[in-house]
Amino acid sequence: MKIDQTVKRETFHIICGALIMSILEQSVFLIIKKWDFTVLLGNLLMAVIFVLDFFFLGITLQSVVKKQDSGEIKKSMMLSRLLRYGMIAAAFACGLIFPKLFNVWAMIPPLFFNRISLAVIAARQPKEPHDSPATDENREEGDEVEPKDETQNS
Amino acid sequence: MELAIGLILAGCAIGAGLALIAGIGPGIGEGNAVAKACEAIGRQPESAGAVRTTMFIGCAIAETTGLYGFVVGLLLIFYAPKAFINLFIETIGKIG
Repeated sequence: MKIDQTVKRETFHIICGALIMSILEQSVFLIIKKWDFTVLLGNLLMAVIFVLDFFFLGITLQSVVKKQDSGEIKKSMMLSRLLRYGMIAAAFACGLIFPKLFNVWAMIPPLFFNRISLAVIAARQPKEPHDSPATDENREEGDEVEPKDETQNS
Repeated sequence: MELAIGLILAGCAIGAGLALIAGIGPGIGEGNAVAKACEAIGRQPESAGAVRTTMFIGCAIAETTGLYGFVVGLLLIFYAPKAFINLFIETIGKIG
C-alpha cells in the first residue's frame, strides 16, 4: 500500500514537534535535578508510541476515504482504534511493570506532544476565503442570481 | 483500615470508569468527520487533497481527547491504587 503524501508530511511535522518537546522535557528534568536514564527511556517510549498512533490513524483514514460502504468504514475505524489503544495500553503496561527502566512521570508529558504539534500545524495552515453565498450587498456585476425557493415562503 | 483501603480501590475503579467515558465523544465525532469528508470528496473530487488534510488534523485532534481519558483510566487502574494506599499507610504511620 502506498502511503499518502499528506500522511507522510503531517507525521514528519509530528515527529519534529515530539523531538523539540522531548528536548524541553529532558531539560526540565535536568533543571529540577531529577534526571536519570529512566526519564529518557520513559519519554522516548511514549513519544514513539504516540507518533506511531498518529501515523496509524493517518493510514486508516487514507484507506477509509476510498471506501463507499458506511458499515465497512465504521468497522475499519473501530478496529484501528481498538488496535491503537491496545498498543498504547501495552506500552503503558510495559512502563508500569518495569519502573526501573521507565520513569512513570516522564511518560505523562508525551501525551500532550501530539495535541500541541497539531495546534501549531492547524494555526500555520493558510486560511481559505470563506465561500459565503452571494447577497445583494456583496454580489458583483455579472454574478448569476439563484432563483428563490418558493416553497420556503408557503 | 481495610474499609479505607477498600474505599481507595473503589474510588480508583469508579474514576477509571468515568475517565473512559471521554472516549465516547471523540468516537462519534471522528465518525461524523470521516462521513462528511467522504461526502465532500464524492461531491468535489478535485478538492480531495485539502479535505483529506483537514479531516486528518481534525480527527487527530479529536483523538487526543479520548487518549487523555484512556491514559488517566490506565493510571487510575494500574498506578494510583498502590500509590494512594502507600500514601495512606505513611500518613497513618505519622499520625500513630
